[in-house]
Amino acid sequence: MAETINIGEIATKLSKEIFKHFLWTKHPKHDDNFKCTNPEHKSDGKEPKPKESHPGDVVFYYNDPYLGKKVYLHTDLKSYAKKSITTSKLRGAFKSLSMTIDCAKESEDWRNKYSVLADEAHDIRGLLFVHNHDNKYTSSFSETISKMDLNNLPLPAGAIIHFLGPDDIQRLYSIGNDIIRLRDEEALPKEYGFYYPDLIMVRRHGDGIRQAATVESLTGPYLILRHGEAANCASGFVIYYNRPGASPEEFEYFLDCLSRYQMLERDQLIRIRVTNGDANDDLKSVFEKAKKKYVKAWGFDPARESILDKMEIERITSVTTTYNPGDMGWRT
Amino acid sequence: MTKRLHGPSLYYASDKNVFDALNQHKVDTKTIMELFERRNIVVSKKTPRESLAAYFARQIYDYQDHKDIAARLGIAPRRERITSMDVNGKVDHSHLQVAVDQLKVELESSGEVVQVTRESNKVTITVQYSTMDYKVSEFAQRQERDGTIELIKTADGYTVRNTHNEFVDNVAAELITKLEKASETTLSKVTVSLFDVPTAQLRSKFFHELAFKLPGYQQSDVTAVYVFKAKPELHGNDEEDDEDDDTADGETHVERVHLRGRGVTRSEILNELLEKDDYYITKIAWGAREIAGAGHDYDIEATFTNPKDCNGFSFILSGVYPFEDGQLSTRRRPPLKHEIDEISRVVENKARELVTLLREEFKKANAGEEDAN
Repeated sequence: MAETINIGEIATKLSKEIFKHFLWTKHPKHDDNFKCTNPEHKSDGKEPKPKESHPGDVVFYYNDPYLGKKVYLHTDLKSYAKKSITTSKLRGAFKSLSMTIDCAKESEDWRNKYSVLADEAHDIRGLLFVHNHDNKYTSSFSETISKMDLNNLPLPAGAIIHFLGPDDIQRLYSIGNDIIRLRDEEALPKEYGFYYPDLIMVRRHGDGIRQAATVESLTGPYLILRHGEAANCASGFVIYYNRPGASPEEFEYFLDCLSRYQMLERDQLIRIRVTNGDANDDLKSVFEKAKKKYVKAWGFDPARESILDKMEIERITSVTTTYNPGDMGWRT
Repeated sequence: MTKRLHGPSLYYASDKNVFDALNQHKVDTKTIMELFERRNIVVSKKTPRESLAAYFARQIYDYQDHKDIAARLGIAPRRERITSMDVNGKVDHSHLQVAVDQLKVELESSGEVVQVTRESNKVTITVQYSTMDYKVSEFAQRQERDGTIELIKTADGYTVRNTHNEFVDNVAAELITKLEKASETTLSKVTVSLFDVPTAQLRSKFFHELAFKLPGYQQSDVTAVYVFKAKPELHGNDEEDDEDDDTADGETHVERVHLRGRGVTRSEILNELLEKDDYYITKIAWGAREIAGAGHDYDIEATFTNPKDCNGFSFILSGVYPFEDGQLSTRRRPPLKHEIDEISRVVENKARELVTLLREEFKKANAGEEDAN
């Protein structure tokens, strides 16, 4: 058994097995520190000392479609046993990452290390990645988070921290696998992008063709992938649906979202792939009911109704073995 | 059922709608932080509200987000009034079963959610439906509601009691039509109406007696009375001249007066309106204190939806002041289901009894006048 898988190897694995599918790029620099420039940042313990540096495990980046700038995710990789996923442990991690982001946003050292050009518009955010290595953590990570008070983190105005818990990681891994599977079946072309339509208050930047998924949409209710034709499918959308499908109203709202995004067109294939493990058993009939209600509410003609009828809804095949990118070399 | 002219309006909220909603002071920072938290995002509470609102507005939303924001904006669905009707004739349980099943199938095929519960002498149908109001903010425009129709067996047929609004009234009417078909009879429909009792005094008496003589309850206070006097119809003159022709005699007409306060029925103003000016009561809100039993005080409101003809009778038990630890609580709570049932029963019965009584009285008075002539 390999004794030491280091942070670099884990980061590479995560990138290859998960984030690459969302078209994120990993910066080659791993496991490095950058200088702390804020004397208020102190270590924990009985005699808090000013920090000399902040750690950085790995940095992922992508172009944000609405901001028109590069988003750098300064990522803290944590691996905990079930019993260690506690509010106090997480609080420590959030606090440390808050201070890191506070410094990183204004650090030339950081920009040099991660090759940010002087004239490049960018946004640096934190990403706390919490892996459970003994696979015993079955509760909902969001419930643990909701018990914490995250209002008083030393986070400066405008700063943002994203987090991924064990269940999110599992879900993203399953989505990545689903993309591989669809491509293998030639039900999805090699090239695809994620879909971000023009909104009312903000327009999309770029041509949108190889658009990466934003970190917000990986944890949002729906993640929309847009693709061209492949041997076994017409062009259209694959939507990863991350909600329970509990009521027709929930799906009606979703359908209306697709309509607002101008996605309900005749020549577009729409495939809905449900990713939520706790999704309703009766998913298909609830979805049918929602379609009927929606058609009725808008007084759709048969042509329009047939577009809705052609939509497919399936669960993604959940990956049976729990995702584990390796046991050693993590920060705890 | 009426067909909508538009779709369900701004159902999927646009980023602009969300931005505007989140900038309202009713939405506190805590709510915004929670919306972000559900997306695995922690933001700084030092970030200006407007920036947070703009950030959240760019995201894709789901139904839960929508409901949470709507709830924050204080658009909780309110309880609705109840109306009832007696349908009398030769109908039995099997007819009812046929009618209810047909109705359920029809509603479900058009996408409504229907639940039927049968008890020994009562069938309850709950229909989920949505209402639209384009006048309010986008988040409040569409509301999901539950409407109920109860059919309670009586000696002569059934009492049909339902949530009083256009949608449920139509469903109830449809059900009665189906019931007639199933039983192959024409049912007589008895509603509470004073259409054929045009005397102001008798119409006011209806509400007086309802509030003051509800069996088993003692009137504790009258908090609101709405009085009405229809605009006199012009004779001879064409109605369209009406508007332009204010010189007719320059007369003003106050059609309705609302009085709110305490002990409203004892007020001089009300009595003058009723006695001297021929106004009559069309709506009353009062406290009814239980004489036996728990001794709670019930806030009831009863009204005729159509004040001119005095029909469309409906009522609502708007709240309860419970009797606790030897005194009446000052805090009003929402009523419980069994309390609504009980109040509905006594109000309906009293109202029907009063209508019969007042019709008699009107006939007698008329006959008396004719005799005198």
